[in-house]
Amino acid sequence: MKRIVRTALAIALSLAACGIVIFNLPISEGATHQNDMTRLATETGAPNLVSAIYLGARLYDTLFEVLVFTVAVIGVRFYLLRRPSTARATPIPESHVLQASAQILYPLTLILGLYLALFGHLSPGGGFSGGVVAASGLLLCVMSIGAETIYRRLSGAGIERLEWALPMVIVAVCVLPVVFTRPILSNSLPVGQAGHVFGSPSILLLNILIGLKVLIGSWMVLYAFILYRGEI
Amino acid sequence: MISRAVLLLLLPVIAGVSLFQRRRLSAVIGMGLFSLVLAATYLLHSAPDVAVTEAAIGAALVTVIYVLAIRRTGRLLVVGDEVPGLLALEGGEFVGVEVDILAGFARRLGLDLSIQIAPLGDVEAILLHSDADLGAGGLSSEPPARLHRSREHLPTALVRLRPQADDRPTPQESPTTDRCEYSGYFSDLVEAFQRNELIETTLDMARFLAVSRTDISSWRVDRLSTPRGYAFIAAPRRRGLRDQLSAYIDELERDGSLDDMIRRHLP
Repeated sequence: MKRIVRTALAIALSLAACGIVIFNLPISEGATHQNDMTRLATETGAPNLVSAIYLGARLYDTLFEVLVFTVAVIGVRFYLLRRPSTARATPIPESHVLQASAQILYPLTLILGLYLALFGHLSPGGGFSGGVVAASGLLLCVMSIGAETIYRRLSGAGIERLEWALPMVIVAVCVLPVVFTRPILSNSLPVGQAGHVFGSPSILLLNILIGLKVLIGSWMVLYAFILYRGEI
Repeated sequence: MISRAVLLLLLPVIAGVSLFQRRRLSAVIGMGLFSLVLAATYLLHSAPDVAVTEAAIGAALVTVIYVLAIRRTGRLLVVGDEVPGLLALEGGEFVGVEVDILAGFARRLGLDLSIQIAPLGDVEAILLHSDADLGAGGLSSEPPARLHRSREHLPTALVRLRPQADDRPTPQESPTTDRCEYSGYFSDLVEAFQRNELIETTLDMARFLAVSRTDISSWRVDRLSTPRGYAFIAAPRRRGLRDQLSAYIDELERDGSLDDMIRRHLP
């Protein structure tokens, strides 16, 4: 029964994806000229035009980037989980210098990742790079504390389910404007004062969601490599 | 402008250098450096968003994933017990004939040589678990079926040691079962000898020469006549590695460098 529901859900989602492509649902207007770009910045409330474009005017492309990343994570796990684990083999110890410096660096790296994700619409950064930087921070954390400890703590928070749920949430946020009778993939939340952290809440929300998604996905890839290719 | 040009010129240079590295780790680090310079180039071309992403993904995450991926495959993991002259730890460094052979072999394969000391009796078990690639350290007997023995690099013989008082005739030898009877660490063997704790044992020539520096006047020494040779043992499914190593030893013998190594370490 569960299997049938899952299969039906997968088919429905693929049909929906095909539907978006085939019927070319109205997408919020793109920017082509200098004036349009300034207009875009005020419309979305994001002074960083790159964010305004990839999470505003071209959100459609970004959705598929998230999909590509999800597929990559699935691929790594699919191929590595079939290999015999090397986790029981003789561990290769880290040097003490590396452990000590990792201990100092990991909080800074995690905070930098958080900053990049939260302020992506104001300054260079964004969900993708923020998530990757935070994943590097998590990796430093692994070097100083140990992979197993981190894995246990994160699994306690149901992180793997979150990994599969987040793409759905991101799609839901993009479809949400329909409820307010606005075109799909446009700002789902009202725009505030430009240049302010909460000036463009929808871009902020998407950056946080994408950042989380990338962080968890990268962590799962890293953990699979740690477990099956050589331990930290 | 100049810095842009310098960085752009630097990119193909770094790419070329990392492409021609024999050692895998150096190649991976070269790639990380390439990403870093590329990120700087993006920054100078007013694309800070792309630069941040390139630095985070190319220089940090991908490098780490590659390092993890080659962590085991990028090194030649050798396990063996210490034997003076063949594989011994002196002042924090491994020296000996076998170390020289393995170091040259690892360099040829572009791998990092990593030697772990283990008791003689555990070497075969570790190899059977595929926890190491090669076994070394004065291995002169035929290994179990799944392990692969390389070409012999040094002839040796077995020596039987009995107390002087034991006047039984020289024991019958059988080439298939006779092997070095000691299975612990070499240092324990020397200590056991000094404290006179051993009753009767069979040792190979290199181990015997090392312990014979202590007083062995109270022992009867019989040399078993079957000729033997020291060789390396490769883990299961590493037959290809064994063949490469045998070919490498052949080559060393042909150009005379094997004799040089033996003369240098075994006077």
